[in-house]
Amino acid sequence: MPLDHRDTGRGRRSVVVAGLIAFILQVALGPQIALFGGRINFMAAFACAVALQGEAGPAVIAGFISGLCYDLTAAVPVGLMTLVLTIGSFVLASMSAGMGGGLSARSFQLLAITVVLECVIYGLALVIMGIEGSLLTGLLVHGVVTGVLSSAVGALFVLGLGGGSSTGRGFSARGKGTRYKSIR
Amino acid sequence: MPKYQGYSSNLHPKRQSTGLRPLIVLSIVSVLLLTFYLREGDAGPIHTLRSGVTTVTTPVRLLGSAVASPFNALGNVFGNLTASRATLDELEKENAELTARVAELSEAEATAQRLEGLLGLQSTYNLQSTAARIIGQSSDAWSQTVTIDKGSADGLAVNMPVANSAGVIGQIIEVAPNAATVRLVTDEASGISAMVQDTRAQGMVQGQPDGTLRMEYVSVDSDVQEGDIIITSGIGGVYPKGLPIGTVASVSKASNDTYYTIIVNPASRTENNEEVLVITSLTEEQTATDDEVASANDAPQGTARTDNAASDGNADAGADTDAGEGE
Repeated sequence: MPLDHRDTGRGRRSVVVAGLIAFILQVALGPQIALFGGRINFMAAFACAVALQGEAGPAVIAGFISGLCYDLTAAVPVGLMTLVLTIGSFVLASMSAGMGGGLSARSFQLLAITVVLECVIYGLALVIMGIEGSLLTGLLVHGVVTGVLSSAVGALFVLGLGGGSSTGRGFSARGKGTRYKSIR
Repeated sequence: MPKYQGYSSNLHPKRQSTGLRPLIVLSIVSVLLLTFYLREGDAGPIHTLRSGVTTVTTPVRLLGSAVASPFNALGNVFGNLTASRATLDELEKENAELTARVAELSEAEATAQRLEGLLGLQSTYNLQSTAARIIGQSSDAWSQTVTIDKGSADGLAVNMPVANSAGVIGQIIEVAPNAATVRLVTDEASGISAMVQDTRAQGMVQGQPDGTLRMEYVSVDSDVQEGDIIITSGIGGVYPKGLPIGTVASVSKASNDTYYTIIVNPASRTENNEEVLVITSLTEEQTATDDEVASANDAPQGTARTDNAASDGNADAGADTDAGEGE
């Protein structure tokens, strides 16, 4: 099955490129954009977009690496977002198995719920650890708003990753994705 | 056929991975990372790793700061949308006052430019300091921090206080060779020994989740009024005494309360590309003396207000203390 291996390689390249884009955005724009008390978590958005592909193993690894990148680039406890995204990616990948990875109403719903829940749980953990003092602010303001903003970005990542397989667009390292490659 | 064969079980090579094994392994690794991070010191391996990542990503942060700086005004618009009516009314009033002062300030533009510079602050307070520039805000919503473009290579270290031309902005909590993270005074984890400038009433200024400051542990025997200037007391040994922190926005207390509830408006605000001063060391006159510490312990409520003393005519003794310190 050489064709499958080639597609798999291209898919992995897309994920890696998308991950790099997410990391650069997280470092460069994450600290600059704040709306309604929330900030965009590009790494969570990317991890959930990968998890929507339905492959649990890669989703868990993407979640772990994304969380670690987030933790290492912010003044937060290292390992906490890593843990949240690792588990969150597994759960989302398990729920979205067989959905095809594209952006639909159902997949966006799953993605949004997961990202918001991840951010709320993260905020709750910070409250429990004593880093965040206000439960209400930590969960409802920072957590929910960050989750909503991040899920909107996550939809773009899904389009880049999932949309790439059906429309020829996406985060391809080669830049020129060929449609109907399997027919040739 | 599985796309990612690398995660298939060795016992059942044709069955697709459920992801349970990497989940368990990586979750354990995450918990271990978190545990080590919380238990290790500032020089631990995870802190060092983060310092390295900060060093490597500093150029990207600088790029992001440069790209985003033209849009800062847009951010203010969104911020205003979420402000309460009272806040907007206050801002409108403040805006009117500021507009009236523009003419006056424009005449003294040359002087204002010099005063706006950090050298002004440095000379005023005789600070041993290093100038730095803010290159980014906090990348998470739960903490109030900024990143500056100087680090350990420039002599900066953890716990050094940071100020701008308006007053104290925070304290360094993490340092990399070419960058440092500053926890702002508005962060919930922040706390500064402070006092009311006029009456020397002692307290502790702490950040709040809504971005304001609250001055804690000020006895109800103290004389505190709206508009009073809050300055650092120097008792903590970290901040030089006399630096402005903010002004009292409101003072309240419930019956039977021992302490006032004092809301403080921060004197300084942080924006990208703003220059700040990192205070690298304190001179003897910038730290609280033993007598001042003893005085603060003996009379944390401070002294009578100078103008009140004149009207009462019986508070001369209280007005003779070190009220001339600070600004």
